[in-house]
Amino acid sequence: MPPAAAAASAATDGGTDAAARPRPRRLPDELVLRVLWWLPPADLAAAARTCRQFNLVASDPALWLRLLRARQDRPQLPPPQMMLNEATFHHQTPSVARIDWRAHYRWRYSDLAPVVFGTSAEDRHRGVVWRAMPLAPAQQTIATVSSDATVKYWRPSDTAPDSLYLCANTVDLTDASPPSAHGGVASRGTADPGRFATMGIGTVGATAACAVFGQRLFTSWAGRVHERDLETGALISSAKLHGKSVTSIAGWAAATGSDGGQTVLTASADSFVKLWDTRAHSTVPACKLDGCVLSVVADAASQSAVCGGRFKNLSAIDMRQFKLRQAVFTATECHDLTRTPTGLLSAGGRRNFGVIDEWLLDASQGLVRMRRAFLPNHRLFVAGLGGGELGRIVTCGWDGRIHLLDREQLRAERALVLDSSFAFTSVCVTPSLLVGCHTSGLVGFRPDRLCSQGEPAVMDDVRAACSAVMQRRRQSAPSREHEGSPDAPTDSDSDSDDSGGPSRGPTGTVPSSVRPRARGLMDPFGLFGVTLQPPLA
Amino acid sequence: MVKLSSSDGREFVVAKEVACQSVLIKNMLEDLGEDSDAPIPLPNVSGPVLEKVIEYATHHKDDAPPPPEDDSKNITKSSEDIEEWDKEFINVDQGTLFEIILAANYLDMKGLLDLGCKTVANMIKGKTVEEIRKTFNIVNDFTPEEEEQIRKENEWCEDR
Repeated sequence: MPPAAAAASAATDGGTDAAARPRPRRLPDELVLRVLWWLPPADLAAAARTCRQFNLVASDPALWLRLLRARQDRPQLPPPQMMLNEATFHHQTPSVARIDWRAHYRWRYSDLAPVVFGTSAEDRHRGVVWRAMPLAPAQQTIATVSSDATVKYWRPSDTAPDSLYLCANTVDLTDASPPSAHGGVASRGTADPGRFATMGIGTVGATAACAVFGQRLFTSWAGRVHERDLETGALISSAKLHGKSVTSIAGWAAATGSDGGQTVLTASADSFVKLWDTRAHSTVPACKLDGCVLSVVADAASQSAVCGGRFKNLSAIDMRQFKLRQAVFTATECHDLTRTPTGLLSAGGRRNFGVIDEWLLDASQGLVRMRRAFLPNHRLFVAGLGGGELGRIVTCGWDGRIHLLDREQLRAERALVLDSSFAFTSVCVTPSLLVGCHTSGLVGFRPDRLCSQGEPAVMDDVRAACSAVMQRRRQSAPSREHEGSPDAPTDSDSDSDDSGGPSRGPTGTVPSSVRPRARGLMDPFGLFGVTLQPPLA
Repeated sequence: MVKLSSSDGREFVVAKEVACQSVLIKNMLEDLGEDSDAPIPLPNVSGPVLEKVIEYATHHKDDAPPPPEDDSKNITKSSEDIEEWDKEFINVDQGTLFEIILAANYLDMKGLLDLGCKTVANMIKGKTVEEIRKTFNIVNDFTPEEEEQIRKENEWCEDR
């Protein structure tokens, strides 16, 4: 005991027996739990850092469930990353005790300090920022392109990880040619007057091919597309491709792995998608679509380009024959497309809700819609998508919100509401940065504050466990049906389910019987009325 | 009247409704029968602490029995929510406070236990990690790697 405390205790006790009495140095765990029960989250986290006993007790689910309840938050099943292990999936109702509720609470409610861009006001963009792109993942550099006709490169500072500095020359987009007469059409559909130029930015440098074939930065200014050196921004070649602004650029040759990342796909507001070979100086109009194209994604495996825009379908263009292969009606416009390991995600919506669709790009069947999620929280369109690196989907919208969605259930987990006067144009996610581009600049966060790293592996485990359960259900369901009515036809859905993903789950490890349950094991206050299961030995 | 005997052999004579604030004593009395004159031994509670506990029980003897645990109320209740008399009562040094908590836990007196735990929680509130360690004389038993890991995990609320 510190001298001051000892003196104080002697004074209040006023007797010699105070010193003689053996003092309890530690409270047992259940009493520590009763103490921590009364603490708000910030103090709880501080207490957890003092010693092992407090840390262990502070991770008790009951504490965090209470805090979630106090926030009027119905404790839902958190994303699979928060599960303590995949054994949860062996029971069909996941156990509350297996969930790391502390991590879940942190994920939903931690305060995020925004990342600071640049050291002075001159560093920042002066106009609408249209896109942010990760360049070299190892160096954590991102490039942003704005209507102030510049591309800027940002890199996290070594000394202050919460700030980014301008790490290279700013590229002037207007150096090659003055903005053309119809440069006034803005890229993302808003008809701003003035010199809001239009830019898309595509980098071949973002793919693995960049190291071999050199790095190229493609920028556009109105209908022109420029090929530049990534490091210096120096112009290499330039072409007038479109009658209206170019909205999206995707590397085609880089995706297909042929010659040098020199062939790009450009999508434009003039409703054309074109293929530009910078080396041969040739342009091929790949296809004319139904309206302003906002996003294009190349898929090498199926030799197709998928486009979405201000028309109500998602179109796949056959790049061997340069004609429209498929147009799937979606009922909403599509503002952004992003690749995932298994397929594609498209984002769009209407005035009062956002929509996210997940697509499978199959070589024989083309685009197959896997599922659709409505985002009622996005009052306006979803304008951007990203986040495969996080194991989550990040969306942003014209309503000034960034949402983080659970990858497995496409359910909104967390909203970063910034300012409804911003309209977000796109979002960019790297393992160390989450950057939103909006109408008056950039906003960034560090996602490592939200969740721990290395989640893709966990994701795979969870997916395997999920598919094991699904497979078991599928196996048991028809057999029961068979007993009930022998003539019942086999379930046709099960065939289409199989195409969704290879089920490679460890079916052998799934226990056939449900384990005995213990009540109140980790819920000493009996508060939540949940069935808790004993931890597995 | 009921006789209670503390760990250091002191005997206390208290009214039955005071003694029955403790669920432990209440159950004991029911087991022993009404007319037992033998003192009830409380080997885990020392004399001075038992004196404090009896003081608390005497003051609260007319309280309505605590309602069974109620989900919705329990969540919104705050540790600041302490009566004036209780606040004065629990204003003791830390060692005594911990002993009162342990005694309340042993005697199964929910009101006193909550009072003690709330008081300790209020002592933790608003303090930094180092201040908490100093206040409660806690030894940092983390390895440097563990400490770094736990610091990272709990970083989000550092600025409060």
